[in-house]
Amino acid sequence: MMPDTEQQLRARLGPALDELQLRPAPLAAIVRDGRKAKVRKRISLAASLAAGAAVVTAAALTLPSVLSGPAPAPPLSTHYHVTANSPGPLSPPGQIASGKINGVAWSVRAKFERPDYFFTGIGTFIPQGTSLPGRYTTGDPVDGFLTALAGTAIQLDAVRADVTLVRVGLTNGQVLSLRPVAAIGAGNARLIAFATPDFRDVLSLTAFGKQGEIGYEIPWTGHTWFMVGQWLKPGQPALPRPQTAVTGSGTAFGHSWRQLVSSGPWGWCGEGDIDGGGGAGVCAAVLPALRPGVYYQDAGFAGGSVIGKSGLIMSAQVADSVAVIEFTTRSGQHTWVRPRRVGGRAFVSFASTTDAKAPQTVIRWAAYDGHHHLLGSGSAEQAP
Amino acid sequence: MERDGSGSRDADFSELVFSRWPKLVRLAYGFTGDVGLAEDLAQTALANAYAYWSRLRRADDPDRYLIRILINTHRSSFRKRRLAESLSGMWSGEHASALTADPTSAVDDRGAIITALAGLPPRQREVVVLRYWLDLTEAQVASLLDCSVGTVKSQASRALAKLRLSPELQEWGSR
Repeated sequence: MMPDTEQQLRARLGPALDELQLRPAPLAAIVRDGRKAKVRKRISLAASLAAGAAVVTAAALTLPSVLSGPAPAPPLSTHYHVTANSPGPLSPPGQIASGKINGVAWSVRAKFERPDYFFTGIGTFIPQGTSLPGRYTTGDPVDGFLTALAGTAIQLDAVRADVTLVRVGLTNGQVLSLRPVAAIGAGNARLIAFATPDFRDVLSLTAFGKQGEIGYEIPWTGHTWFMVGQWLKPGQPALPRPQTAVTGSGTAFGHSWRQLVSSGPWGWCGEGDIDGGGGAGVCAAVLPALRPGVYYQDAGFAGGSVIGKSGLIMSAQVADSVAVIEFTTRSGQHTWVRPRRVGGRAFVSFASTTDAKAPQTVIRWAAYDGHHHLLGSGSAEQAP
Repeated sequence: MERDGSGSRDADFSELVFSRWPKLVRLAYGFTGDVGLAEDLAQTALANAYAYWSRLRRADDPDRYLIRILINTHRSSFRKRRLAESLSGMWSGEHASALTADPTSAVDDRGAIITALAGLPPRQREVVVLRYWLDLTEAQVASLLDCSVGTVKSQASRALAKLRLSPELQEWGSR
C-alpha cells in the first residue's frame, strides 16, 4: 500500500466524518429499546438452551443420515384490532395518522427540525435519512418510504398525486382506509402511515383516485420489514400465488436460526430468523433459472443473517435433479441437507461463518441425485 | 433498593450514550454512507449495549465493546439495506448527489469520499473506516472484525486499489 495514498485517505475521511452534523442522542428511545432487547435476550437464551439440548440428542441419533425437514413457521395470531385515523382539525401539526392497536395508541407525525424532518412514531424517532420523497406524480400509486419496528410495525408510504384513498387489507379481516396527508410541505409527496402488531399482518394495499380503483398490490411482508412491490390493475390476478418455505433451520453458535424464502407477485424474497427475532432480508424481482449442468448457485438474495458473533446463514439455489446437498466444513465435518422447493425453484440454506478461516466455515458442497450419484461439487465459501 | 440501583444504572448509561453517540453515528455513517441509517444503527447498537450493560461496565475497553456491537448490528442489516437503498435510490445516489451538489468544494470533497466508500463491499468499508478514520492498528481492526491481520491487510489493500480507481477520486493519482 502506498503511504501517500493512506495519508490522502486519512485527510479526506477525517473531515467527511468529523464535520457531520448530528441530532442529539435519542436517550429515551434508546433506553426503551434497550429494555425490550434485554427481555428478548432472556427469552432467546432460554429458547436456545432448550433447542441446543434437543439438537445434541437428535444429532447423536441421526447423523450422518440426511437432516430431517426444517421446523414449521409459528403461526401469527389474527386476534388483534387496529384503527388508523386521518388527522383532524385538533390534531398536532404534521400529524400523518394515529390510531390504536388493541387499545394502545400509536401515531406518526412529521416534525420539522432544522434542517430536516423527523418522523415520530409511538414515542420514538424514525430515522429519516437524507432524502424526502419529492413531488410524486408518476410511478407506482404508493411507494414504500420508511418502516420501523418500535414494538409494533409502522409503515410510512409516499402516495402519488392522483391517489385520494388507500385501503390496507389485514390478516384479521379488517380494511384500513387512509387518506394521504401533505405533512412535509406542498413540494413533497403526500404520505400515509399505519401500524400493525407485525408487518406480516398486512395482506394488500389498494389505491383509489377520483375515478375509482387505480390498482392494488400484494406486499412482501417479513418479520422485521415490509416491501411494497409490483402494482396490479384492478381485477388482475396476483400471480404467482405467494408461497413461503423454510429452506433451512438449526442451531449454530448457540442460537437457533431459520431461513425463509418466499415467491409471489413481488418476485423473490428471503429473510433470516435468529432466535425468533427476525434477521436480514433481501428481495429480487427476477431470479434467473440455473443453466443446464449447473447444480448449485449462491442465492445472494436469500442469505445474510448473522448468527451470534460470527455465524452467517447462507442460501443457494439448486437444480431440480438434486436430492441432497452435502456440505463440508473446514474442519472436515459433513452435513446433508435436502433442498426445499418454493415457487418452482429448489433452495438449501445452511449455517456457515463470516470468517473464512474458522473451522466451522462451510467450504465445499456436493450435489447428489435420488440414487446417491454425485452430480457435481464445488466451493461453498462466500465471496470476500 | 432496586429502584436506586436502576436509577444509578440509568444515570451511568445516559452518560455513556451522550459521550459515545457522536462517535458511533460517525462510524456508522462511514459504514453506510447515510446519516439516517447511521443514526438508526447507533441507536440500535446503544439499545443492545443497554441490554448487556453489566457486561459492558466490566469490560476493560467499553469503546471496543460498543464498536463490536455496532459492527454486528451493521452486518445483520446491510443486505436488507442494500435492497432498500437500491429501490429508493438512496445508496450513493440521492444522498451522495445531494452532497456533491453543494457549492462549496469542501462539501464536494466530503461527498466524493463518501460516494467512493459506498462503492466498496461492506467488509472493506469497515476496514477502511476503522483503520483510517479511527486510526486503529491492523491488529485492533482484526480483533474487532474477528479476522486475521492478513485479512485486514488484504481488504485494506483491495479497498485502496478500488478507491484510487473510483471516478470520484480520480485525481488521487495526480496529487
